[in-house]
Amino acid sequence: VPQRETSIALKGQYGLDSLDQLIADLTPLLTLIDRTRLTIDLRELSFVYPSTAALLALALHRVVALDLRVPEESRFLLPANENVRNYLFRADVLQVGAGIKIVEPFTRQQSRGFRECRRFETEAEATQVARELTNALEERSALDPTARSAIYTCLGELCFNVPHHAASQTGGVASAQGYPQLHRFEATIVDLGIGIRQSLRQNTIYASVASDVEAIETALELGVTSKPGDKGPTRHSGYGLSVTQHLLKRNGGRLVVRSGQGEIHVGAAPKAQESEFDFPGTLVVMEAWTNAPLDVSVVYQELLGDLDD
Amino acid sequence: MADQFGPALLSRADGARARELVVAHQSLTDHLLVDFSDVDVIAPGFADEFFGRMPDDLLASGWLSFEELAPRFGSLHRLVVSRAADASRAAPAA
Repeated sequence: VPQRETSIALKGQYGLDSLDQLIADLTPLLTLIDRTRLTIDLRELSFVYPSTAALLALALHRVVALDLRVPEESRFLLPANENVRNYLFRADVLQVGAGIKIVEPFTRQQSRGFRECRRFETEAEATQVARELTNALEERSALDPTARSAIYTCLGELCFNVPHHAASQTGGVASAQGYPQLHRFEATIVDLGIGIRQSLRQNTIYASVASDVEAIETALELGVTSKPGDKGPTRHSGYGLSVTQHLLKRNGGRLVVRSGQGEIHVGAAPKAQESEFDFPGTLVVMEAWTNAPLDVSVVYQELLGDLDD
Repeated sequence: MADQFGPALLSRADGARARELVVAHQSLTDHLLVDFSDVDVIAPGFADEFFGRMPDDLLASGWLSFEELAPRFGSLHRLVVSRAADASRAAPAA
């Protein structure tokens, strides 16, 4: 049976303002449905943000989990830049994604402030991932206890969204990186599930949501959930995204949510756009300053004030 | 709480389990004190299940009380209780 050929190439770097390009470049992988000879060309990749690492790892994992590549006829062309190549190895992007065991040209040290990309499926795994990424950011960026608590809270809530709402066959992947000299960190949680719009439609109140941008805007409001109700283990209350966006707005940071064709940035440099590229799942990025307050209790007070008003 | 669920109270499932543990003690003791010593994180999902869904009469009667609940968790506690009460009022009668 003749096999298809599929190639993707990642080039340069994909910051938060070029997520759409990252998704466009990965679309052949994300939409693959037939077994194929696969070429992953990373030679010109020049920097790896957590969002790049997490999305690449999960896209690769999907291909392997669904047995969509012909292993003996597929190729990885690794980054030419040694630092980028070693970062991909060290962050376990290829291991998490494709199960590739690599003979690394270095000896791994237990390094403070660094954690590998992590894939997770269950609530217990999501809890563990949130804890480990928080610990890594605390070690790397010397967070105070208030900021640590806020990050832990939000990472937990965002990671829980995967087992609770995504209906993803491939789980989720989380990745985080602190940049201490820039007083900044970024954390990404991504899944290839049903996306926010379809998830919200499970709640009849939001069945008429007409676009992915509107679905994301709706999901950012306090109390919006696809799984309401007054009791039972599947009842949710819609705190996670809302609390996180308020926290990051107050910090001067940014929350980026991409789902389907919708992409919204809240906080710094806000924008909402519909893309021509459909992203089959949900990608959430927290970007925050570590030299500005990160205090989730102030967010709760603000939300209480809104309720009183 | 920290002994049972760890210093970070995150998940909705743990919140529900903790609340069920409290409710299960109703017939076993005259007074129940839940100790939050060494708890350094409480997430909204846990709080919603534990504080927001706790039967009102347990606290109002004085049977249940909380110890060492850090002041920084006060606004979260008020938020989830307030919203749970609003949701309960809005829910149609069975």
